[in-house]
Amino acid sequence: MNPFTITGGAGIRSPLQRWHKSQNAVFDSANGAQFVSRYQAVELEANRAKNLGLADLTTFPRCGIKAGHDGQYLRTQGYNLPGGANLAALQSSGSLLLRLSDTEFWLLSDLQQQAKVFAADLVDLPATCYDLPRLHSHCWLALSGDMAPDVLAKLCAVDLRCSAFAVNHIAQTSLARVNVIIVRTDTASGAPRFYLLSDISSCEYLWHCLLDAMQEFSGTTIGLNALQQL
Amino acid sequence: MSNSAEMRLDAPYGSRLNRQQTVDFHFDSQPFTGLQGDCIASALAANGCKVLSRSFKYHRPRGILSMAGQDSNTLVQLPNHPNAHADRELIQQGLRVLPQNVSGSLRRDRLAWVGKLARFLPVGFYYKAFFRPRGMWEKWAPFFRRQTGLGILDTAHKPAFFDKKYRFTDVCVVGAGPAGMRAALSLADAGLQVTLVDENPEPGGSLCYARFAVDNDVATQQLQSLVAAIVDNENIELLMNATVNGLYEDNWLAIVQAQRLHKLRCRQCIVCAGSLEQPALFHNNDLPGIMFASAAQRLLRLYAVKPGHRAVVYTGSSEGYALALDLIDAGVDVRAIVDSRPEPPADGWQAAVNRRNIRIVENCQVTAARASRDGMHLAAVEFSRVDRPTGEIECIDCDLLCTAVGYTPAYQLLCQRGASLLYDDSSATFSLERLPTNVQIAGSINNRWTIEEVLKDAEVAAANAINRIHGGQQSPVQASASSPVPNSAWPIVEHPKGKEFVDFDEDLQIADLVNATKDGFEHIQLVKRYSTCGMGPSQGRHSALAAARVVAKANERSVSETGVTTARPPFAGEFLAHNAGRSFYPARRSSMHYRHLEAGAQMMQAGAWYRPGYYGAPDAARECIQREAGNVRRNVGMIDVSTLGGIEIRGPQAAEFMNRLYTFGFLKQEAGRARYALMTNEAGVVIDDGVACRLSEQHYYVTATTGGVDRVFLSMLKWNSQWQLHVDVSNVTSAWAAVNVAGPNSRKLLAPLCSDIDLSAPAFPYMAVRTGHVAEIPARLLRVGFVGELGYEIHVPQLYGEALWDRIMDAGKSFDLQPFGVEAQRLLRLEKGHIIIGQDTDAMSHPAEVGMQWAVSSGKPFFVGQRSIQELQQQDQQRMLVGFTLPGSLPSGQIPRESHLVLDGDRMVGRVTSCAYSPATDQVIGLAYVPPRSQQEGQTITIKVDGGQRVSATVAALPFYDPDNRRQELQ
Amino acid sequence: MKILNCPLNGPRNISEFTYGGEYHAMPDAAKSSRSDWAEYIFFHRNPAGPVIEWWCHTASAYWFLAERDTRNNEILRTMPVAEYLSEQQA
Repeated sequence: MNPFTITGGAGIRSPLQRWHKSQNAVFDSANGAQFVSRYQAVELEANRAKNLGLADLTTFPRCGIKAGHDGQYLRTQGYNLPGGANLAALQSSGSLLLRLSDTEFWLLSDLQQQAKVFAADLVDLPATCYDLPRLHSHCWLALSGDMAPDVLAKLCAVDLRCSAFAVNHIAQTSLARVNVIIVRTDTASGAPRFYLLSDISSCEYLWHCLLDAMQEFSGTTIGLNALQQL
Repeated sequence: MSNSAEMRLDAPYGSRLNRQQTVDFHFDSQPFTGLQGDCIASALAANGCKVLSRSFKYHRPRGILSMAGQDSNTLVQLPNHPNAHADRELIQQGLRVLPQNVSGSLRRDRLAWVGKLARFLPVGFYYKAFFRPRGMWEKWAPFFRRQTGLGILDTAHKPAFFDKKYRFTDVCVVGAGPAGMRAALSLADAGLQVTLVDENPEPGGSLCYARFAVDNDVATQQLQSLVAAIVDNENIELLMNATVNGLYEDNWLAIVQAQRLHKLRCRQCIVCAGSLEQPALFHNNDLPGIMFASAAQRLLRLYAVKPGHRAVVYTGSSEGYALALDLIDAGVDVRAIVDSRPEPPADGWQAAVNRRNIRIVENCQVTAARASRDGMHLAAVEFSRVDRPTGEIECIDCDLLCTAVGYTPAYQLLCQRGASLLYDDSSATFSLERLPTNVQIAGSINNRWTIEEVLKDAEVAAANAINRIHGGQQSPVQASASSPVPNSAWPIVEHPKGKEFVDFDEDLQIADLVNATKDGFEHIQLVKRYSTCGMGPSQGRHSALAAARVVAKANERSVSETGVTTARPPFAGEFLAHNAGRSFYPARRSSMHYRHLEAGAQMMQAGAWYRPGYYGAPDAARECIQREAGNVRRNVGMIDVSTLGGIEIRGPQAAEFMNRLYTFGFLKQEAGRARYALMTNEAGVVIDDGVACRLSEQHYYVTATTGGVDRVFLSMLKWNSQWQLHVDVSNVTSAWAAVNVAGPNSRKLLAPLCSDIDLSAPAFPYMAVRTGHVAEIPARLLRVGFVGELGYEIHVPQLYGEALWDRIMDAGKSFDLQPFGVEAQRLLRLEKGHIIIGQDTDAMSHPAEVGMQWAVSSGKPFFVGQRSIQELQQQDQQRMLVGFTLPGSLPSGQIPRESHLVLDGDRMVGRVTSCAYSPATDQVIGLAYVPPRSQQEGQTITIKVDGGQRVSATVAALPFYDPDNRRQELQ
Repeated sequence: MKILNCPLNGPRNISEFTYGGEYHAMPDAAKSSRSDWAEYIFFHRNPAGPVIEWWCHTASAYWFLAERDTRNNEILRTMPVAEYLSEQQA
């Protein structure tokens, strides 16, 4: 697997970069790729995001892998495999392993983006495995806060209430009429957090649908700093 | 006009009122004052104002009928909101309410004379009178539309925020009356999540206004204990002011609440929607002052308004007796109870009524109502004995007639889902049968009428729902009803003067329905469409039963055989905005999108994608397109082709998979080479094309058309779910951004950017594929020739797309590199005679018709479409896609366009699929389907262009430009 | 809105799925008669009763088969393609 398709580099840009700039975002970079660290004061963002916050993690490392029957290869590499399709499992490194089917897995970086260790063992795949360039095919958004399930209820016909959609559960479904993979992965403090992975070309569209739906609940966009504090 | 003090009652009447707060509003340009919590109708009634509207057809005065927001008598015009129910909408300070369907004022409607012509306006009148001569209707229609109609739309109104929301619950209980509340409590006790929905602002249903026993406290105590229990229950979610407008498959409910449409999914649904009271039929039964018993009770209990001063009650059950007691309690002078039963039972109700000295006239029917001198409201009631309808008529003066003759179950939601209505002739009662799966009913909708039976029935329904949720089958146990049903086969009195209205919405009288059957429309569905019965705003809620009885009688059939018309959603009126508001239109953008905008591109949509059409002003489109194309031919241009589909096919059987899916042979394709790939479906029809790049022995990267890739990808997966080949198929369309850098200078431009790829002709020949880096960005390079020049398609991981664009534009400055759009590309490919699937092909095009036999392998055992293509080849070919030319000097109005016809004499023999002026050859060039006899180069074909002119085009060999392909295969 | 139970994703609104037509096994393309081939390409059984159909969960691009009773639109069962094929072979 080409590392460029996992962690990118200096040239990569989120489709939302212009929007972030228009909101006076403060950028930081990891592995050469820029991301938003904050738009406003971090404290303010973190506070409002307890209620509802949306962050763009599109430039963060991730990759997909078709890892053979039952994910055999990943198992041999020491990954903690989710028990079945549409479940996720947190790895000791902090990254999150999603299982979308019997054979298809996605690995999402932890929020510190430790790219050096991230997926290093996936660069040389055996012939029975196939890489999927998920950094480039899908955007990665994080919707967090107590009202997050209510926002999703306006856009998605799957029951994503916390009582019905447990932590580490995955729904491959339609959100505002685009295909999306929704992962519930709560914050360290236990606040609801959903990762939304959707076709990169629809990223801006989806972002604005979410912002529109969030208005009712006074949601806000947040950078990584606030997201990490939740 | 009575004053407010006279009509208002003291507490505890008026459960919805806040007596501390008065509210001023206007109706029909007059000022009124009501109390906070009043609806428009109750506030007007408290002020003695009886008339709310004029009827649809005859402009008859109409007043309160149901007080439940169910009938069209109360439709009024609010600012920005036509057809608002006056008995549902609350008054607000300063609100201006106008009556509808009125010419002038409500009291002096200039069109009231129309009612006098009723005799001359029979059902079907418009159809019969105005269909001849032709064009007649168009002249008359505007007049009728002015004369009949509902509210007025304010087209300048800016709509408010409307929204949708998905909801989920274990059990949805529709209706928060006694049955609904009891069922919800049983379910909640069993640990289930319950959503309790009601259209009223408070739970309680009939307990809030009806009298369930001689002792009026019975209902009040039940109400208090049930409401207290549900409000405190954390398993019960209350949705008030919310109307369930549709019940769909698998318990999917459409619920309208304020400005939001809820789409609720539940495992079980219990419908406790209650019943709808039905009007009695007699002459002038629509006069203001004649209302349902339940309407009078609602006025009393909810709004503390006396519905009248001198009342007559018309009934066939104890319901009327209960009402009479309510009226007496409120200080209304009850002149008589007209009871249609021959011998009303001597029960507690009768005893109580007797104690209050109310006159009971047995075995009698109301035959007519008399209007006040001004015609605006009820002045007296006429009645006669049921068994001697033409006998002695007695008349009682009164200003209020309350009818309590019967109900229909609120069957609409259940019938939407296929439940049937059964009818019992002796009691004139409908009941619901064949309920949908996972739906239960309880309460008066299930013909339970005493409070004990209603609560018991709700418990049974809840137990059934719980049982089903725990995997059990529908329990057959149903508590049987023992108490009498408050319905009666109330007399339908045909009056010599008519005006016995069956349907108030549409001003339909008994004779109208009878005439409809006489005109041959015997089936109830046909009667509905011919007479419009049940098609008005109240959708037959108050006319279905009477209409069924009238039609059944006219046809000499039973009511069961006659039935009612189909119930369809929505149950009640809803705003278009509930359905239209907050729609989603996905948009897809390439990572270079904003670079196009910055360069002045006019974007065009291809499916959800936005693509640059051309760069420049719309009024100079033609010049822009030709300039861009010219720059590619002479110099070098760049186009964003990120929308192109991309599919990775990897694995030991990748080549075998390709071989089966595409028409060409792929087994022998060398790694590092690209090959044209044509796809047909099983019928041999061309459905997609692209370029298959063999990156390694076991790895293909195949492009597909922008619009076709999703379909192609799914069909690949579908095939392999059967073939089970060892191959992985991934749609990577969005993972790759791509540009095509084309033109004689493309190699010179790109070479300095490619440190690890040798672009020289020997190292990188035409139709070769290389991987490496372009401007330090990892890239796949394809040397292809869609536009017919030396060119390279550069595919890079999507998030690098904008950086790639910037680096190449930068490097291209010294070459005067210009971006070109989809329009220029279409022109360039046409010059090369390349077809576009979907534009130059249709649902019948097979490879031979579009000159693609060369792309069909004859030497492989199987590919999708092979057998059908073989069969097609054995038949005579019907048409051929050929190139044609016209002189470059042709006036632009005569240039053929897509879908212009190819003619043979007057016969249509083909059509144009693409056509444009070609700057490179200075002629008009195009592609067209023609009969095989006309396909020879040099033959003349006739094309009918805009305005019916005919031009003669010459069939020409393809490609039009650079026939030897020297330019794209440039060494 | 009808619910369809996807073998991979569980019960979902039917709007999440793409219909793929009636399932019918392809006859031997090389050996079958013209009329058999035409029958396969252009005709469907379209019975009033249970029928095996192709369905694809669009968001996950997952094809499976469903047995549906066309008389009442009831989905009798859904299954992975491989499961059905091996059932047919048995």
